[in-house]
Amino acid sequence: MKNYWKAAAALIIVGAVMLAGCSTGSSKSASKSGNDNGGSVTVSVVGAIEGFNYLKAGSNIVFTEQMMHGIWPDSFTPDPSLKSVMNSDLLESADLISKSPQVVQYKINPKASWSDGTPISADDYIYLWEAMSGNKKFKDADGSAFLPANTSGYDQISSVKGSDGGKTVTVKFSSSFSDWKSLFNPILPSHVVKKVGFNSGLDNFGDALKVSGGPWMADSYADGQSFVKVRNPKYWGKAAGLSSIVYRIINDSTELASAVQNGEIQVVNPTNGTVSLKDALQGVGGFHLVTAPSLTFQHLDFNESNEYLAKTDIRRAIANAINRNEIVQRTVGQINPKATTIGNHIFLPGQPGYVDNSGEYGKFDAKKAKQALLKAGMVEGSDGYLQPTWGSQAGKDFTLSIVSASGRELWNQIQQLVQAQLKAVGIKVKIVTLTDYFSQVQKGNYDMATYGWAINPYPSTMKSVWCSYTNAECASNWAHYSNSKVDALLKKATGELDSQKASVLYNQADKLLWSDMASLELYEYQQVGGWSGSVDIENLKYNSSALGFHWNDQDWRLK
Amino acid sequence: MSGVQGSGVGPAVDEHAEKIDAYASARNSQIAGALRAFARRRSALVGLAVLLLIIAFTVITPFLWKYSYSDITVDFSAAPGWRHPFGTDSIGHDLFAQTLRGIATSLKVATLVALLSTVVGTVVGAVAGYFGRAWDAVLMRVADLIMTIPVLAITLVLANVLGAKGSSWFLLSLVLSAVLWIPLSRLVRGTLLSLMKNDYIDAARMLGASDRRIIIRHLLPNAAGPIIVDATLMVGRAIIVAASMEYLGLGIQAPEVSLGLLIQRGQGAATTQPWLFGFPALFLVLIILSVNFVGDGLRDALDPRRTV
Repeated sequence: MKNYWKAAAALIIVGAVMLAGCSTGSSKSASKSGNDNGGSVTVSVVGAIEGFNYLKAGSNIVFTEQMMHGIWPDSFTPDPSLKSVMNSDLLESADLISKSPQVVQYKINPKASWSDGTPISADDYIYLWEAMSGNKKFKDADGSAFLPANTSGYDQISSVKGSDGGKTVTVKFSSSFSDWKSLFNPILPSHVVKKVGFNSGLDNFGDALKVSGGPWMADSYADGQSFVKVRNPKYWGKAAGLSSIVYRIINDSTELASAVQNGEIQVVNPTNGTVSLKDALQGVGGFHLVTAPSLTFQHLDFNESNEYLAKTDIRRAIANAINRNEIVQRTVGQINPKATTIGNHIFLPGQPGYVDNSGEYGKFDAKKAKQALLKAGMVEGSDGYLQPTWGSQAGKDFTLSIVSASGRELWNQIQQLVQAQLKAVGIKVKIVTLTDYFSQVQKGNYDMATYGWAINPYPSTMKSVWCSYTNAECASNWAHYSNSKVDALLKKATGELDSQKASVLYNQADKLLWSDMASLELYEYQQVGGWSGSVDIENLKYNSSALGFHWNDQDWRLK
Repeated sequence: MSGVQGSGVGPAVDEHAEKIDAYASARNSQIAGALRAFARRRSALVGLAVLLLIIAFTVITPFLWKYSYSDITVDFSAAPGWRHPFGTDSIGHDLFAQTLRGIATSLKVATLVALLSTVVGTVVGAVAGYFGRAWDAVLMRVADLIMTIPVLAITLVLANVLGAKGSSWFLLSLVLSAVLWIPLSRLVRGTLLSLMKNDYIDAARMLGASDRRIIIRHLLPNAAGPIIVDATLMVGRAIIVAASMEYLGLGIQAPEVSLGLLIQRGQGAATTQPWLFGFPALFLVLIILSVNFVGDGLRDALDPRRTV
């Protein structure tokens, strides 16, 4: 009798545990039911949302931009070939009407208006410029300065003026900015944001967020669980194909495959992938897997404040000792066999303007590397490592540290591969993992650092990485690199309005960047994503810009 | 008892020597009895043998094996085969060499943690249980406080504060011990509270035995059973908790590995590359079982109710 009850109790407990283990999210299956027959699709979002205003510093997270796409209107959108296409629902025209001085004129569609009835006008363009300019004379709702994530381009605008009842916007530049199509993406409802504040008014879900100027409208948000956008009934342009898109927040990419399996999500938003994610998704029957490079690339930086790394020939030798192809093969190459190394510091493969400028500097040649190191004042030590004959490590094993962020397995793998490759030429590499990685890197507390840069299709954004760190605007130059020739070329390139001429200038700068070897470019991140076999979504196309699948999510249709 | 011939000194010396001798023999037979009790449990012997074998294996084999745990070999993501009996990970480490190294690292940390937390937990629990009142209140509240802080939060704060020094395995062991002693202290406290209800404790007190003597000679030996069991369980617990800390870079630094770290890394690929997870997990299970069996044997050996 005792045993019978014990067994029954055990079964009940096991059953309860299993039921509890099943995911608690509501299953949103794609269906053609609901109003207007558009249906709904559930998309995964991995990670936490930190505020909805992705133009502000700290909230500029890629998937926030993807989630919010179509709510606030963009002036230009990059298509899958990374060409900037004008939003013809919002604008009738957007033209460069004068080159010197540079003047751009936008003509807003007379029908364009925010969902609360206020027309979209030059006021919204003016407000955005003030918020993004970095100019302290413009104040946010609470009297403090605006905190934009990036001021690139906006800080070169001298004035934004409205005319024709606010439907014509004239933007004058104080100095030429070639990537003017990257500006005003998106514009915010100024009449709303002026009241709630740019810096914090859109951090939490509320009424301010429900004012829309695009095909989608924010509908609801359950903290840590989901965000829903629905068709904007007041949209004057082409209506969205689906009636709603649900974004299901998932904490860990290891949960993605099972979420697809049990129908909880239909679309896996491409996210920086690992081999196990790819294998797991492929294991879900019928899943359409997409692996494609993203506009995020991995690189290895040399800190030129280190006395040895300050020497160009030592940096070049280390670059030659690193086998980039082997790194690609053993990391992202296992996700996408077509993954390659990158040969350019400003453009990525696939972008118009990309040229492989790596030449002899990016080529793996261990013998050449060792000879160069010996020539730079190193001698063979007794334990297989080289020893410098000068500097603070004279007479000791030549040691460099390589830092990476804790918990990032991919970066940790790169560290170990670099360690093994440099060991082969006699350099001892100490691996250091930091939890406050980025603040340490910004302070310059490292010898070598590996991390990724996420860029947009506009090359001018890379200027703040490569221009001399002594300039205040070069806030992203964490390697303490400085070359006045590069500065001059970059300045000319960002001001050059002819994109082909600009590319020539950027590539000239890039050749110098390679020979100076401040940073060794490794590879593009491979994103892994796709959609479940249980749905057939028309127009779902990958785009390597930050928008991913969402560059045209208003055109998705269930077949 | 046979007498001992002194060197011309009188009978008083002989008596003294006889007493020492008697005592020594009693002790010897006690130890012999304990060993016999241990050996009577076959599982304890097997557990001990397996543990010693694993330790010997991890110490000797690296000298004989062609790959070191940090070597990046030609094969990556390879399934188990002739060249790599345990396969390789995705960048090319030989998993056999890494598993051996991982066992050594984990055992080092886990042994130290088990010892430290057992000592601390026993002392704290004994003081709280025996002296009660103020001691009990303060100590148990401290324990509660520590328990409310999640281990991960402690880890992250420490990693930030220690920086590069955080990669010391010794510091990691200290941190783990500081957290893992608590359940044992409650156990000891509870056991002591119930034991103190016995008459012989009051009797000992009336006879003038000091507190220290009562705790060490009368109470703790009776609590030895649960203490040992918990200590052996602590070994497995320490390895697993250490894994999440090591994953964040505390305690060990790449290319160093530990058993827990290998398991944590491997579980993401458990269905697609099961060897990454399977072999380290197998050894972890073996170690935990052996330690538990040895613990059972120790418990029997140290049981004060056992007759010689």
